[in-house]
Parts: sequence; structure tokens; C-alpha cells
Amino acid sequence: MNSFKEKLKGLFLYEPTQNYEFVLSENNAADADKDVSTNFLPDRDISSSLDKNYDYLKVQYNSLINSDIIFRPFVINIFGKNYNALLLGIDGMISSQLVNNFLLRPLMETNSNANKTQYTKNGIEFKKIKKTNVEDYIFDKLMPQNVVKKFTKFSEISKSVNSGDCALFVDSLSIAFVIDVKGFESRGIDTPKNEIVVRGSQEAFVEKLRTNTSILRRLINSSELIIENSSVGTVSKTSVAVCYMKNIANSSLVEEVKYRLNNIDVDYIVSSGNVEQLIQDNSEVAFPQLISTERPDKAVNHLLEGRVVIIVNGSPYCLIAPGVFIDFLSSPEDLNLKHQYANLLKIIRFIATFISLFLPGIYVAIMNYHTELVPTALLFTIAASRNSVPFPVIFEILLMEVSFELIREAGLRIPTPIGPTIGIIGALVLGEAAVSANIVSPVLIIIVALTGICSFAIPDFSLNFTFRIYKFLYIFLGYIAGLFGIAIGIFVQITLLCNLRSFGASYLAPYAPLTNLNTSISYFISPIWKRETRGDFLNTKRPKEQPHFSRKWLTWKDKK
Amino acid sequence: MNNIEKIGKAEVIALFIIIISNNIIINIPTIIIDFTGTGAWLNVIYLTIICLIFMLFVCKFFKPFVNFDILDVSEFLGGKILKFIIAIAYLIFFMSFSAACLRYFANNLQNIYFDTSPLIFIILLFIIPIVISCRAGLKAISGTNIILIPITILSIFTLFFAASRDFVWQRLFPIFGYGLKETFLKNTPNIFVFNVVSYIYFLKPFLKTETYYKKISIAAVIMCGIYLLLSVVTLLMSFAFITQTDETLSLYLLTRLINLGKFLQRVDALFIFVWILAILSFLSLNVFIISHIVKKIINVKASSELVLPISAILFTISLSFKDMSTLKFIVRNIYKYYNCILVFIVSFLILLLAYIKKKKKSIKANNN
Amino acid sequence: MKLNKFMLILITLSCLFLLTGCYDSEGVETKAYVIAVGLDKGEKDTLKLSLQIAILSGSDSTSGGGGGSGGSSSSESSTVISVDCSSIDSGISLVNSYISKKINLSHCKAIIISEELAYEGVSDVIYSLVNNIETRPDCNVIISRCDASDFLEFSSPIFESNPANYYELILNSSEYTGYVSDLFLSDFYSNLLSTHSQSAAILCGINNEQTHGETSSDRNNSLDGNYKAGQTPIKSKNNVEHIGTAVFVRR
Repeated sequence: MNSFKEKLKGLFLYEPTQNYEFVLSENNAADADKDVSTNFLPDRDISSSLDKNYDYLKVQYNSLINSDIIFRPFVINIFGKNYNALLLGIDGMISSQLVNNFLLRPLMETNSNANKTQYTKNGIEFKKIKKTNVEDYIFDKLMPQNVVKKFTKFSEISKSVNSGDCALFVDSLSIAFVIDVKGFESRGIDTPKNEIVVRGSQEAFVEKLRTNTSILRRLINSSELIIENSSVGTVSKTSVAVCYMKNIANSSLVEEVKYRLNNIDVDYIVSSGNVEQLIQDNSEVAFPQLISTERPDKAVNHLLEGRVVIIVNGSPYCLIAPGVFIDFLSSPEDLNLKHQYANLLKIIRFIATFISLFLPGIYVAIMNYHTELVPTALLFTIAASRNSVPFPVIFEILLMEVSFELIREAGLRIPTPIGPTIGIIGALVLGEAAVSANIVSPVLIIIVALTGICSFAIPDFSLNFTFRIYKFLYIFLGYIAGLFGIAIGIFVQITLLCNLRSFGASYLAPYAPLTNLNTSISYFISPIWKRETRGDFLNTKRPKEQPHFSRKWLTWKDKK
Repeated sequence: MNNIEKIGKAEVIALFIIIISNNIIINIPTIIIDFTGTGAWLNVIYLTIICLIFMLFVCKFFKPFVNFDILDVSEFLGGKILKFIIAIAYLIFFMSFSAACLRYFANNLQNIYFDTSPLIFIILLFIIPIVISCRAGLKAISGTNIILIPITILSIFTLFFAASRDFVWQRLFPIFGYGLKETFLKNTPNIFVFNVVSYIYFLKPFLKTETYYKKISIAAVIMCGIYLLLSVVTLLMSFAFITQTDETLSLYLLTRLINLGKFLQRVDALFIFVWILAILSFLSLNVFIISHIVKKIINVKASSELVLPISAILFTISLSFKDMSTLKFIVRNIYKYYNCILVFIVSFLILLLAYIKKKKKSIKANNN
Repeated sequence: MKLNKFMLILITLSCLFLLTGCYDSEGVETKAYVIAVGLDKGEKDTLKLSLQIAILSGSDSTSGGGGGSGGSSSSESSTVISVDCSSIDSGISLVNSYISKKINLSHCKAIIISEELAYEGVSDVIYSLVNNIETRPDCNVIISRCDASDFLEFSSPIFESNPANYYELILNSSEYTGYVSDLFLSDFYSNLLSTHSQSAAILCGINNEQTHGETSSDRNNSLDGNYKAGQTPIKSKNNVEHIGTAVFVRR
């Protein structure tokens, strides 16, 4: 009977659906004004008593909750006296093998009798025991590690432990040893994914800072290469390395870079893109002012020209300051090729720049205002095809440009197996169908496709976006005033570019203040034996790169 | 007054080239042809020689004054009163010239391409980029200029060579035009076409190194002469003489003649595009110089704030001409003599007297 | 520059006036392109203006259709409209009120003046054409021995689908024969005003059986090609021919 009642209830009884409700509790008003940079615990020096240090560290690292903090208490025996010691590290960041074999083992073995001298005099045994300085003894004799530092403040210790070192606390010592035993996994040196060249090295930067700096050191075998470390971000404390050649780079440039990096007040930095936006000169103009690259050979080339390289831990793209306009149109391939081939590529890129920026605008301008410019046969074809299209040119072109940008953005996220197919089919079918349905004219599809292709010919990733943004401005200008509007747009843009400076270098150097054009930094390159001076706008300490006759094998052999 | 931006040698030469190009674009060769007939090219050669001699003297007189432009020299000579008078005279000169140039070009643009748009719109579309570029300073103006110069020179030379298909040598006859006296003596005030000289007076303190001043000014005058000669000869040979009326840009009429095969016909829109860039560059230079003069009179610290009111005044003046025939009349009759007297006679006298005064002072200082 | 709300609204409103330039923006498909202009002596008025306007058929998007549809309708590729008027500009205004698109002379390749009108003097007509900003100074001036409107109706391209090409190419024969020369409107105008040369124009006429009969009698001694337009004994469809030159003398 009861089960029947239950069944009946289950059938007809109405219970409202249970929604899973979760609401974020509101913060206290007092907490809202809290300064972002307050630590939760005040910074202290370490004390001589190990227990106090241990309690402090337990609170700071939340060791009851955190699962990967390792505390290893043990005992060090020095000349018979036992000292309590504590090892602190983070699991996964430290290398267990290094810690076990080369840290714990030498510390744990007994060290007696090492400091005693024994001698007999007049038949009596004398043992002379030197007063031991525990700190020096441990540091000098018991730690076969190559990087050991001594710290007194908890903030420094925790900063190092957080990046993979381990800390050793000894009872009765008021300093702690911080040993570099980093052993975390990271990506190995790989081929560059986005900047592909045919005849160049196929190495790329990785996320680990030390590996990147090691690549730079390997390629520049000079002791004048300086790599300075600093950290950015109050919570994330990301390490950032500033690299420059001491005898080449302008010292005020280096100081300006360091000044800007040290005066950033943010919570966290996750990539070099954040750093770029925080230290660039002008954030309103859409032009990039710092070069970003993942290729070490490009970075090395710029270092030896006299620029400064900024590497951010966790990001495979390094930043190079200063960056002028012609740098964004050069690819790393240009350095490896003969100057004729490189100049050909530069001409093509120049044309691609013009097409990707101006072509839709000029098309709108000519079709609406200056039809006598077009050869008659072409004009009749275009007019005939436009007869059946219901939209004016401006609407058509905006429609096609927006759909092209949509296809481009969607193409980034298509899963790899079906990626290329969808791209081709989408573009093809969309274009063909649109033309068949007489929504757009066929000439417009060609123009939009050409613009899109040419924008891919630009080597730098950021400059690509610049042209995509400004292209819409030129379409609008071309519509309101024809070629007159486009001329105004060009004039204003060049003026604003002349005013732009990137870390002290004029953005249109070496053309607008006209300086020596025969340097290694100019748009069209001369043969390598002619590039005798470094770029003028960098004001380097060593302006001359090579002497006038750099090919000494050409001089006459039997010149007596 | 102390922190004047300095620009280099190449930029100054580029600025002079744009001034000369603009003189050609706004039809000054036609004015010469109107006055002297087919003897215009001889007139131009004669004027170039006179101007060269003139420039040699001017450079000599200007040499002891380092970092001084013509206003400072007049202050040295006659105190603040003379400086004020000269400044107002030059102000009227530059302002009216820019307004005439702007109105002339905008009107022609309206006739050719923008039939139904109001003239105010076109002039306003000129003024807005001028304001933006003048506020950015002389470095931006000269930088933009040096990037646009190759295109401008290329366009004018291409025009001359492409129109050479239609040259008819007989149109240069009679050689002496209206007569020997007309060609050489009566039309000496035609030297107003060399108004690049007035810019030479003002751009002196902006040079980084003053030692090049003489070379640059001589080069500017010679370039002006060559350009004018080329344009006058081209215009004379391409059009029959009676058609030299000033109704529209003569160079535009030249571009309509370019006919290379079946493909490249009626390319005048591209030339107009380049000339719009050249005119914008030229007008920003003018507004900059005007604001510089005003800054000197009323002693403000920076001239970038003066740009807006000056552009507004320029806009108003350019609209105040009733129509093109008024403009023509004013340019040919009033403006020509005013320019000639101001730039070539008054300034020359001031420089001469100031030079003598300085020599006397230095002799006195040596004696003491 | 602090962009507070007021400034933003002000800037946006002031940008609206930028759109006044769009008055002049005329789409390509709103214009009727005139290929040739014909001028006759008018019956009801001073002048009879004929305009040969290109008809632009909408092209098919399928790949095979383009060539087929364009070539077959040679008679539909252009149409001729004639109107009696007192001057060229008034004639164009009258035609503008008659057809749906705006007349545009910027691709006009030939100006055809009938012989009758030419005998009376062409300076007015040429002046108004040269002063028009749209006409090309390199279009050809042709004097026709028949009426200009008939000429326009009879001239139909055999080899081209585009009537404008027809006028451009048919006068190209001056490059490899000596029977006709390439004379432009700009030259015509300059020579009209100059004191040392005379204007000349190309002579043309309709070629059919009737016009063949006007050849001169001493055919044996004359040079080959010594025909006036319309007299050449060619047998083909009713078509027009260009041969000979008309020279003008200043009165």
C-alpha cells in the first residue's frame, strides 16, 4: 500500500525544479580600498631560532592547505655538534635528484674530526679545535652546488623558492641559504611557429627565461653582452631580462628602458604583450612601437645593431626597443639572402602595403567620383556587372570586408582536421554564391581577396592589424570625398607618424629627418660589404660596423 | 623664442621645392605668359639672373646676423616700431597669398570634381589637415614634406615629358613676344614669381648649420628658375597662344592631353591627387610661418596654440573673394606690385642699412 | 586630451557635416555612357544632337554565359537618341529628362559632324565641346558625308562586343595605312585658333550600293585609294567607312 502511495506521489506530485544557485558574496567595504600591493604578512628578517622560522613559513605558505610545499627537517652534524636544519622547496619545481644527491647527502654525512689537529708535545696529547664558524663551514665545504645565495629577509627567500630554488634554514644561523636546484619541465627548443624562413636557423625562443638567455649567449660570444634581471608585477613577480651590448648600445637608451620597466605598478604580467603595452610611447596610435619576435637570430641582429632586447619569463616572444617603421616591413630572411633577392622581396612588400591599405578606398573613390580614369572597356564591364546589384559600392565593400574579417577570425578556431577545407570552401562558396545571387559584383570579390592576401604578406603580426584598421578609415574617406579624401587621410597619417617617437628614435627614420641612408638599417639594402655604419637614429657608441674594404681577399695579391 | 626646432639641410631644400612646385600648380606661369606673351621664357631667364645677383647680395648682408630672421634684423635696425611694421606687412603678404592659393585651388577642384558640393566644404576639408599638421610642429611638417617631395617632382616632370608629344615649336614664335621693352624692362615686376625669396628670409633661424645658408638659397633660386622655365616653355608649346586664359589650372589642362596608347588616358585624377598633397604641405608651411610671425609680435611662448585662430582667419579670407575674376584681378594688379615692393625693395633696404649699421658698430667696438 | 562626454558628442556631431561631400558621389551604374556624339543641322531648331549610348547588359555569373550573351546582341549593345536643340548643353539636358540615367560624356570617343553643318562653320560647336569638363581632348573629330544620326545608326561593330572599342580601333588603321589620319579634338581646337595651321578632320560616310556610283570617270589614272568616303567599292553589310580628310579654312 505504501509503495503504491509512493508511486502515485512520484507521478503526480509537483516539485519545483532545483536550480543550482551560486552567487558571489559581496566584498566588505573596508576591503575594497585595500591597496593592491599590501602583503598579507609583514616582511621580516629571519630569526636565529629554527622553530620561529618554521612557524612563520608554515603560515606564509599555507602548508596545511597547499599540497606541494615540502618541508624536510633534518640534522646536520658539524664536529660533533648537532644542528637542526630545515629544507624548504616546492614539489615539481625542484629537481629531486639534485636535492637528494648533492644537497642532503653531503649535509647529512657526519663531519667530525675535520677541524681538529692533534699533536703530541712532551708526551701529552693536545687536541686543538679551531673555533668553527658554522655558516662559513656549511657554505664553503658542505654544499657542492654552483649557485648558492644567502638571504636574510623572508620576501627574498620566498621569491626565490617560488621560482624553483630551495631554501636551507639552520638553527642558530640568522641567514638562510638559497640553492638553485631548478628542475621543472618546459618545452624544448623548437622550430619557430609563426616566423618561418627558408634559409635561416630554425630555433625559436621558449618560455623559460634561462634557456632564452642561454641561446642569446650562445650566438653572441662576447663578454660585452649584459643581461640584467628585474621583476615586474607585485603579485606575479615575473622576471624580466634586459639585454644589451655594453660597447654598442646607447647608454641613455638602456637607462630609459630600465627606468620604464622598473616604474610599472601592476598586479601581474602574463606575457610580453602586456609589457609592450605598458612601456610603449604612444598607445593611441595603432602602430606598433616595439618589435616582437620569437627568432633568436633576429634578436641577435638587432642587439648587434645597438638596440635593447627585453625577454619576459613565460613568453616566447621577446621585445626589441626601439622599433621604427621600416623594421616592421623587414623579415629575418632579408639578412640571409643576396641583396638583389632581398630588394625584390622588399619591393613586393612595399606594394603589398599599399594594396592592403589603400585598394578598397581607391576603388570606392574612383568608382564614385573619377570614372574617367578607368579604361573604357573595363568600366563597361564593371558597370554591366553592377547593374543587377542592389547595393551601392560603399555598402557592398563594407559587407565584403566585414565578412572577410569574420572568416579570418573564425579560421583561427576551426579544429585542425577540417580547418583548411572549411576555409577554402567557405571563401569559395561564399564568394561564388554571393556573385550568383547578384548581391555583390565579381570585381569586388577580387579586390577584397587581393587586399586580404596582401595583408598577409606583411611580416610583422602587429602591423597587419594596423593596416586592417586603417583600411576602413580610408574606405570612409574615399566615399565622402573621392581621391581628395584619401589624399587628406594620407597627409594626416604621415604627419602623425612623423611626430611619433619610439624610445627616442623618430618613427620614420631614416627618411623623415633625412639622415645617412647608406647604413645597415634602411629600407632597400645595399650589398653587405657596403653597409659600413650602424643606423644613425640609434646613436650607438660604435657607429662604424666595418671598414671601407671589408673583403680583404679582393686586394691584389702581388702588390709589392 | 629660444627653443626653435632646427631642421637639417635636406629638409629646407625640400621645403623650397614644395614652394616652387606650388607656385607652378596655382598658375603663376600663366600670369607670366599673360603679361609677356611668347617672350615669357626669355623673361624668366632674365628674372632668374636678376634674382641670383639679388640673392648674392642678400646672403652677404645676412651673414653677420646669426640666428636672426628678417624681423629680428628690422628690430636691430629700427627698434620695435620697425619690426612691428614689417611684421604686419609680411603677415598681410603671407595671409593673402595663402588665402588666394587656397581659394583658387579649391574653386578649380570644385569645378572639376565636386560640382554640387558647397565650396565651404572643400575649403574646410583643406583647413582641417592643416590645423592638425601645424599643431604637430615644424618637424612634422618638414618630415611629411620630405616624404611627399619625390612624388611631387616626379608628377611634374612626368607631366612635362608626357605632354611633349604635342609640342609644336612654331608656337614659341615670335620670340620677343610683345617687344623687347615689354619682355625685359616693363615686366621686371614679374619677379614676384620668385616669392621663394621671402621664405628664405624667414627660414634662416631654423637651419641647423648656418654655413649652408648661402648655398641653399642660391640653389633654391636656380631651381625656381629652371622649374619656371620648363613650365613656361611647356605651356607655350602645348597650347596655342590665345588659349592662355586663366580659367582653370593650366597644368590640369596639360594632363588632359596625356594619351599613351589605349590604356592610359585621362589620368588627371592621379595628378590632382598628388597636387592636393603638395598644396596641403605648402599651406601648412605657410600657416606655420604666419603663426611664427604672430608669435614674435605678441611674445607668446609656443606657437602651436595660435594655429586655430589663424586657420579660421585664413578660411574667412579665402571665402571673402567674390569669385575667380576678382581673384585674378587682385593677384595680377595689386598683389604683384605689393609683393615686389615688399620682398625685393623694402627688405633689401632694411638688410643693407642693418649691415651698414652693424659694420659701423663693429668698427667702433674695434676702435674701443 | 580628455574626452569627456561633451567633447565626444561635439566631435561626433561635427563629423556629420563631412557627409555633405556625398552629393557628388554618383555610382557607376547611375550614368549612361555616351560613346559618340553626332551633330546635324536641325529641322526644328539650330542643331540636331544625336547620342549613341552604350547599353550595358548585366553579365551572367556562369562562366560560359559571358561571351555568348555579349556577342550575339550586337544591335542591342548601343542605342541612338536624337533631339533637336539650340546648343549641345541644352540638348543634353533634354535627353537627360528622357532617359533614366544621367548622360556622361567622359568616355565619348568620336564626334561626328555632318557635312552640311560643317559647311556653315563648326566653331561654336567645338567651343562648347572643348569647354565641357567631361569630354576627352583625344576624341576623334569626324565629318560625315551623310547625316550624323544615320551614320550612328549604321555603324555597328562586327568584331567587337564593346562599341567603344569599335571607335577606338577603327581609326587605328592610320598607323598602318595612309588613307586616314588620327585627328583629335585638342588638335582641331588648337589649329582653329592658331595662325599658322588649319584644322582637319576625318572624312567618313555610309558605304552602300548607291554611294558606289559616284566615282570619278578617269579611274585608270588615279591612285589606288583615291576615293572619298562612301565610294570605295567594298561589298559587305551596310556599314560605314573612314577614308579621306576634311580640311577647314578660316573665313
